[in-house]
Amino acid sequence: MSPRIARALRLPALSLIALLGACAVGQADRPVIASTRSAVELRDIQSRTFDTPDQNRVLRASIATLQDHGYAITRVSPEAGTVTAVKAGRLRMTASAYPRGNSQTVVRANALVPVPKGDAQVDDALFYRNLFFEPLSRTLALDAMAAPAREEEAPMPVVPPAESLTARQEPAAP
Amino acid sequence: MLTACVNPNELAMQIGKPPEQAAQIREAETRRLQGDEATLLAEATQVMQDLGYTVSESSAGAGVLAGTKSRDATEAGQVAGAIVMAVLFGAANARWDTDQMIRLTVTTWPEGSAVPLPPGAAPRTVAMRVSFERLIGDNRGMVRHEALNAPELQREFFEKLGQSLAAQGSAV
Repeated sequence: MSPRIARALRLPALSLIALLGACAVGQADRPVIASTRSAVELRDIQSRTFDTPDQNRVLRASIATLQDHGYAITRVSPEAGTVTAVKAGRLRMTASAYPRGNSQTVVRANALVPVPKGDAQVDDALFYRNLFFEPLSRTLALDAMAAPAREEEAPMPVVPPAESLTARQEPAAP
Repeated sequence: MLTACVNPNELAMQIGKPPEQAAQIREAETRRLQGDEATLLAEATQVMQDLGYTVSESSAGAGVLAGTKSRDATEAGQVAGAIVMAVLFGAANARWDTDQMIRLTVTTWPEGSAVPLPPGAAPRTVAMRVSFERLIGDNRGMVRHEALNAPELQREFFEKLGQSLAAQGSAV
């Protein structure tokens, strides 16, 4: 390659590298950028009610749904009814299953993706409906009904905990 | 890769799409085992550690086991190529893989668990699914992801688990 061509290619190449650098992920303590939607809107988008009192069944179905969609399960607490999973090292989601009365379970999902200034809360209704609640409904063989109208009956969103994404941040295998 | 350049919702829709042939992948990654779920998870933990994974999450109550294994990913050929790029375009262009992390997720669920077993009945069937993925870091702190769907990975895991369970009187 001639020096002239190399010089011509150098600026675009450097620009691309700078852009990619801005997109680097893997920092564990990034700020969470919350959605600007109202709490009521967000609750409607992120929550569904299922006609079963079996919280553990709903939690396991949530885990199966996430694994089907290619997520790796990173944390789970059956006592709290929560599961956190990450997909492609970037999309993090926590799903929480809470009992509602004696016959129902409410699920709230909350997802984050990395953007340059932190981790942004996903607030697209289609994302939660098409890529989580509808498949969860099929796994459970139960209809996914709307979120409870009363605020106190719907769980608060749980922020998926950050994790080390790069191999070098993980302890070496024995 | 260009996370700075897209809307977070669009990015989530793009990443969150299920893999093509998700049902076939699920079948390929799943085996039916005879025995108690907690015992099977305990045996799977041993296999995971034998394969060099560090357990990062374990919950018998939810049927989940997860672990990671880190390895050096540096390849001489890739570093040589990066040096050539650096000579041509400047040091800022030198990129090569430095390390990799393989992540393993094991999930279990008792099949037909809604029906209580009568005393003395045969052990119930538990479905176990094992998924692998790889995260590769480079010298600039960038991370890329690769799904690992090669059947050899599951085969190795379940063969070792089968050997372990055979000694316990259970079967894959």
